[in-house]
Amino acid sequence: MTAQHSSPRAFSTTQLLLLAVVAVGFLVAPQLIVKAPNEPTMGMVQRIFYFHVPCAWQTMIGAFLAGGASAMYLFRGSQRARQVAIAAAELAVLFGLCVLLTGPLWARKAWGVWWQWDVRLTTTALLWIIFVAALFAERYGGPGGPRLSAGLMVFGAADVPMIYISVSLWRTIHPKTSVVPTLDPAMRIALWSSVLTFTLLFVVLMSLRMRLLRQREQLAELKMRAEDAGLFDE
Amino acid sequence: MQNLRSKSRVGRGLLLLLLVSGPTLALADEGPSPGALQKRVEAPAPQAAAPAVANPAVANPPAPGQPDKDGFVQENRPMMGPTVDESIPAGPLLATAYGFVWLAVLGYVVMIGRGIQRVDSELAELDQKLGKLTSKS
Repeated sequence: MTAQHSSPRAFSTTQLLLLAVVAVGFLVAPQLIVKAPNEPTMGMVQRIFYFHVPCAWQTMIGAFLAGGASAMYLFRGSQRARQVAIAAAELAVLFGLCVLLTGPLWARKAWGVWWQWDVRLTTTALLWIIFVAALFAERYGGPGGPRLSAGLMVFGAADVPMIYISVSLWRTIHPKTSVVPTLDPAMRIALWSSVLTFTLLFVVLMSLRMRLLRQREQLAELKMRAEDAGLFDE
Repeated sequence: MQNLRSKSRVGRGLLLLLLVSGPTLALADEGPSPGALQKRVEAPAPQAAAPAVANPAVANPPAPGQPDKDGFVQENRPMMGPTVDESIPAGPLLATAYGFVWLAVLGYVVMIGRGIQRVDSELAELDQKLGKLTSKS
């Protein structure tokens, strides 16, 4: 049993390397953002865009990943898929919170209001609520919690395409996705560097969270086996 | 005969003036649309004369920088340009947005780090107990 506990370090070599790249990204991206020109109509506040959009993409990636992994867990019973789903859902909630808080700060200046019940904003808020509910169900849902949570995550992932195409299908105050190719080259560089940094951050956080979940499961299994063997009956 | 013709011509002219000035008067009574105001100002002089008399707000436009009867202040500045009016300061909004993202990510990393530490210590504890048990046996 002691052989199974390999006393792991806090971070593996790959994770450390990725963390270093992310750190460099977070040092370079702000400089590129500062160098990017001011958007003429909105001014300085438009620079929220360089964090808001990457966070939104990570939210959608997380939700999609969680939905796919949950479907695998529901149909095949794979525990690894369940771990992927939980980690991805947590990241969808984390980045979703960033989107839902940075968006209104930008909107206050650009639109004059903190919030609008616009279709893009509403579907994003709905996605966030669904994933929060899924995580609650996973943690406090009792024996049926994981399956209920997986079902909710599949349902939430179906909202992702809706969020993406909402700005093209309905009349909306939110900028369209077609804005990105029309950006100034300096703005585009700042945006893509930010997207890359956030994507790497997503990968690092995902791998760390997965590792923690694996370790917790191993620990629970070890404890159960030890108790079954009567090792602690003193 | 001549007199009758001239009278009917005057009558037709008055009718035409009424027909033309009617919608203009109606426009003058509508809400605070700046476009409508622009239309009134740009209308040809004979037609605009009637509403100008009827509506004192048009007859006496507010001084520059002063609000009109609806409370709107007319501005003359370019819509697009390098400078925009920063009436709501953008700096604090921007700083809050960036600060929040940083804090959220940092908080999550700390949460995972603590979780890993706790699991590690529990594993170490379990290891220790097992070690003691095996040494006894």
